Amino acid sequence: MKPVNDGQPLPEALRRAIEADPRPVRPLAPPPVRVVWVALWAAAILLAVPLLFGLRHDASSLGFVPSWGAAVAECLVGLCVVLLALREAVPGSGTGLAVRVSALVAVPAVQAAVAAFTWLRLGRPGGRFPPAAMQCLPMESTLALPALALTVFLVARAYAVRPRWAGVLGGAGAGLLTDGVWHLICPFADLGHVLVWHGGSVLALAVFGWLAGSVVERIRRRRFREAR
Amino acid sequence: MDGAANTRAVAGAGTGEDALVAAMVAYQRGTMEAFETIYSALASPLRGFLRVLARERTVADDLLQETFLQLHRVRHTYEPGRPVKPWVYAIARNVFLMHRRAGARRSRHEAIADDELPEIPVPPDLEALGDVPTLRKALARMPEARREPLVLHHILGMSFREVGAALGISEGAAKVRAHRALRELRMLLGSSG
Repeated sequence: MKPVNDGQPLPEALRRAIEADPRPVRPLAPPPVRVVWVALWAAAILLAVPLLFGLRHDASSLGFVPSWGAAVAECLVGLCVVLLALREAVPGSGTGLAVRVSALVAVPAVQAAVAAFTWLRLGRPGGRFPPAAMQCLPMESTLALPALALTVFLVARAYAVRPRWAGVLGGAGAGLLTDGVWHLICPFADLGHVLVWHGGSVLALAVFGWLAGSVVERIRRRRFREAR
Repeated sequence: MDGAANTRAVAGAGTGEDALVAAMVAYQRGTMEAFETIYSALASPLRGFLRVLARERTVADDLLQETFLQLHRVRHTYEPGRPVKPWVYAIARNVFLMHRRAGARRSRHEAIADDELPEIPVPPDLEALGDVPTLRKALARMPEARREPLVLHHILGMSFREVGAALGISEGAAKVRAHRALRELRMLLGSSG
């Protein structure tokens, strides 16, 4: 291996560019520390939303674990996915393709598992197609906006070398943790409703994250082209 | 720590990854000498890496400068205590990818001249596979996904863990890709020899 200092002189143009902005910078906190902000938000809405809107009417027959337990589990998995997005946003800290794909598969899998468990627990309530109560899609998506904005802000503070991946993971994570909260207040338990409208909300947020990443990449590319 | 103390810390840190980490921390605190230490340590291997990717000397030199500018802009994203090289190489690779995407239409129609083949230091264990010019030609013919881990590990001496972090793949994937690349390089050299 080559020695560390092999005496490469610093080009004058580069020196001038660096000296133009010599201010000290505060290093970003590690992703597990930064994700605490999203965790605090998740904890706040997990407590506040059921207080404001009331727990689902079948919460008592559902039991503590399938209601609160499932909600907390969804929030925790969502936070793990947000953590991956924050790692993806730091150069040299991103995870391998298998981990990223597994995380994206885990999001609908956890959501579907919670939906199926609830559905079975409540005696397989029937539904129709298309599923009722489409309003859950915009309402859940709106509730997810602060978590999404916070995640996007934390990702944007860093420098994702794969912004689309950081975006889609951030969107999916924010969507899943909000779905955990929505699970506590949504009165509809039929499988079709949860999979289509709640799943649609998480999918919409993941797609939004992907598109936001694409925009970032396009802007960077254009700046790069203009600078040369 | 004040500026003079930062300078002393950088100067007294010796060589190796610890010195780079110390230099990065001092650089984040605003010490210009620390940036020079980082440039001095990494410019040469980075230039080699970028020449292998870009295949054109002038483009690679341009990208090297752009890499250090980018590194300066995002210096707050380095997490003190973590290895510096994966962070720097990930940025360099991203700069190359931006260059390639920005000029994708152009490069699809351009052939690469023999005299533009990358010039990178080739370690003795790889030189045993063939003479240096033949080795460079074979490297240039390899797909990028295999060339990168081969160059980073076998030529620039990074560990598989560092290679994985720089390329955004797992350590195991880096090992497998580098191993396959070495096998392919041997086959290419065998067929050309």
